[in-house]
Amino acid sequence: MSDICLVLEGTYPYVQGGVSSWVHKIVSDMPDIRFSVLSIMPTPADTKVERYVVPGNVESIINIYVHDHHFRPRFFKTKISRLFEFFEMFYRGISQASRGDMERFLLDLIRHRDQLDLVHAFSSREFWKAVTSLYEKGDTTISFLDYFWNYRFTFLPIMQILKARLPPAPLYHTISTGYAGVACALAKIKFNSHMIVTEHGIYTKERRIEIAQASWIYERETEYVRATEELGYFKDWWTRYFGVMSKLAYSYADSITTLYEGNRQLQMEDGADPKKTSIISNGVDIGEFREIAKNRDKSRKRKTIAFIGRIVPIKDVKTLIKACKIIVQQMDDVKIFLIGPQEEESQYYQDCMMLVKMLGLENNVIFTGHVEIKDYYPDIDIVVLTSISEAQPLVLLEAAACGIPAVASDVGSCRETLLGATADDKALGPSGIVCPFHSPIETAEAALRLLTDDDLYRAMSDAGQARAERYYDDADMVNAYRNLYEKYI
Amino acid sequence: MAGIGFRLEKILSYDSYVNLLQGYAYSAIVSAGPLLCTIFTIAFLTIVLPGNLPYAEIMIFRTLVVYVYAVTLITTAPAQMIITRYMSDRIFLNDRQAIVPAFVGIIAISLVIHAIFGATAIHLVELDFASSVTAVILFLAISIVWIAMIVLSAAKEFIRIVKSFFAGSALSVVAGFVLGKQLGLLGLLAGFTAGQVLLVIMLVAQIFTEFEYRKQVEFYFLEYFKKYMALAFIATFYNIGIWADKFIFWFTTQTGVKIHAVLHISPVYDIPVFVAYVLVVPTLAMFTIRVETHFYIHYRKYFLSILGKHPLSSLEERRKNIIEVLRVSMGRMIVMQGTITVMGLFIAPKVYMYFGMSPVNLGVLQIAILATFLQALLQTLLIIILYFDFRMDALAMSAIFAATNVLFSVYSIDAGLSWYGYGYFLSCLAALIAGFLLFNYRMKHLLYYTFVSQKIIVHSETVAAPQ
Repeated sequence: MSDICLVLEGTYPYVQGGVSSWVHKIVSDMPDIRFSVLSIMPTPADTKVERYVVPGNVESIINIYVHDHHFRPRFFKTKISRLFEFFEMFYRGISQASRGDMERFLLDLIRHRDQLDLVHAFSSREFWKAVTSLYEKGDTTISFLDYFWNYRFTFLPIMQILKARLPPAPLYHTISTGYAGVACALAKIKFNSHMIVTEHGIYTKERRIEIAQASWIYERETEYVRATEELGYFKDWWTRYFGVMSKLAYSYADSITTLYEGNRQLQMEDGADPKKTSIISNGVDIGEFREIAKNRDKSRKRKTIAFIGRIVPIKDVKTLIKACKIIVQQMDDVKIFLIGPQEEESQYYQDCMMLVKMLGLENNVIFTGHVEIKDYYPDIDIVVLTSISEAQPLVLLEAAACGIPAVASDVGSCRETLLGATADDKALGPSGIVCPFHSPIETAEAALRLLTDDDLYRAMSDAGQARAERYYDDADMVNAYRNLYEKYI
Repeated sequence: MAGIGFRLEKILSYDSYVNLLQGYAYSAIVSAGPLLCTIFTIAFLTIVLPGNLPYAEIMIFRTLVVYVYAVTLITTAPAQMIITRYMSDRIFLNDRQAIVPAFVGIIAISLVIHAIFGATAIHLVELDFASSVTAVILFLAISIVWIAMIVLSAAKEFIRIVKSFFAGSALSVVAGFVLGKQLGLLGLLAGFTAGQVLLVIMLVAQIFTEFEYRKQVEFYFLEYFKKYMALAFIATFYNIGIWADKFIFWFTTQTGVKIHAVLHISPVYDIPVFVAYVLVVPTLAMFTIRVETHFYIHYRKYFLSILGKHPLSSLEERRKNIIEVLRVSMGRMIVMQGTITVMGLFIAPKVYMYFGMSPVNLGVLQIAILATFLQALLQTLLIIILYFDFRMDALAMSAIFAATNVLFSVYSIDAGLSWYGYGYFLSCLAALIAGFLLFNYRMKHLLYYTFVSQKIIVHSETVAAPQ
């Protein structure tokens, strides 16, 4: 049996990204702890390639495929009628009153998980009765086709989780709520263990954005035309669904952590008990970046700006390019590097290149594609980030550790990272300038100030390095989790 | 960002159901029209020629032609069903250009199989070489006709098909008459075959002119044999069901008469059943018209209301409408066919007296009239069941039909003259009752079956975590 079971959704070791790198760091830096991984992925096709070299202390990886719909009908049909009662309870949102019942249902269901039959759950007469009777109790003017599909779609992942073989462990640590949170809570109930929830981005918030943009979720004309904040019946359904899952995870968690204060507030809005919550920031390898900082020539003429991140709409690269136009009008020898992969939204990348051409910035703006960023840091004078949404961007932490001041939009934890979170932290002084998002003029002005004002630059550079060493050391982050783990194992 | 994104790729594919409709209905009547046309051609030839040809030769000719038709109907049945399904899917996908390549492909395969089968089987008929070759050519030509007719169900110029039949039949009659007078059986057969070959050429020409096509042969339809194997079996069983009693009566010593070598007939059985069959044609025609008007409208409305995102109560109402229109249509059909049947029952004795035929056949005729009436109902029900894609029910029905027809026909011969025809009648009845019970159950729970039979299709997107 492993010491800790990490419950992951759509990430490590199959998908590259911030959360996956974070998980890799945790397991690699605690070689004395035995981990197991419960990885929730859509289908078997998504787990063909491992993107990380998983260290030896990860003893097992168990996959759950939540969108796997290849049912093999059984000859002897098993009937677990309580399944549909459980679905209904889930659908209605689990209240405190029903929590005891739900636990009993869940225990009963997972005790008989071998008998859980997907055909029975999604194609049987009983299933049909459950769907239609739930429909009749609600708004009976709504599209039945969509109701049917949403019902199937809502509970297919839940069934797959119920059916999964959960590895026993004294402590479960999930790095998101959602399906992973449900699986984690289930394991905790089953083995009577402990549970930690860590969220980098807030699951419900990310899903809300996705749902609002989803075209496959049906909205009636009237719902669609009404330009209100109100969501249609089915969009509301999904929002509630993910809300219930988060609530479930929070209520069973013994500790809830996130990266910064803003996110902690969102977790509490979703029902997390403030007493369980705490903040553990991301960190960077201070020693390594200290070396880079030493090698930087602070007396040279400053003219190199960098954007570091994927070229995607959420990063709002276009605002940055517009800001560059203003900067170049003042200083025509400025170089702007756009560093990061371009493949994810190739249309957006094309648009950005077009914009560069239209503004006549071909000599100043350089798209590097995916490169080793550490080779670039010594030459970079300022980092600019214009995202419309962020959690705690690693690039700002790295820049600070290198002594590179930053200009960032006021989203996620950017303000805390640049200006300081606590009173002690603020006392270190700002390590960059915060501007509103979607604001090319303010962004350009801030960058120009940093390029031209030597005293300001030096002060922000020093503050950044001091702040990173004090608050954003990845060794501290790993230690904070080690301490948390030791509380429970 | 951790988490799994997702979206529904495709909700339903009901449109393809709606498209199936005309295909199956058409294939039902498609065999009736040509058959009638051919029957009159043969009848005409056998009536005008006797003065010039020995009766025995005319009998060989007639029996041989009947065998060719019966055997090709059974052997091409799977291909007919599969190609119907394949075509309706391709048309739904707006790929009409796939029709001709598939037609060429299926004809190529069919010709090889039928050539081998025909060349082997013709030895049993013990004809001279020239006649044997001619008979095999006829066999191949007729096998093409059935498949071509299915493909032409998607054609626009319907009247051109009718013209082709007239032209082919006319040549068959004239050439058969002229050559028959000079060369006897060989001439008769060759002349008739010439007309049918002309028909094949005209039908194929129409296929090539009516459809735009890719200039290649395609065999994608072969996958449909695997995917819709049930359809192939349904067609085969159903056609075995139609012909089993006839073959049994031909080849049982009490009832069959040997014409030449393997060619047998059963005068006591063939004529009444043939007369009864002619009486069914009006009902089939009427049903087709009704399907295209009343039933089709409600059937379509039902599926459109699902796709149109109606509430449950509205779907339920549309379901009841289908049942209602089926009840009315079936009622009308029973009244109409019932009237024809009753008239047939009454007129039959007088016709028999008038022609001076043996009254032995009279009882057989009466039960055959009832049986063909049931067969018309059976075929109607089978088509409706296939509209809803309840393939397993259709398979059960057709299998029962085939099995009971073999079994009961054998028993009816043992039971004696007064039981002739009861085998056919009872097998129709058994299959009809089974089909009706199954269908009734399905219709009661139609919503359940239409929704639950849909596969869950999920399109997943894994969202990568940003830096």
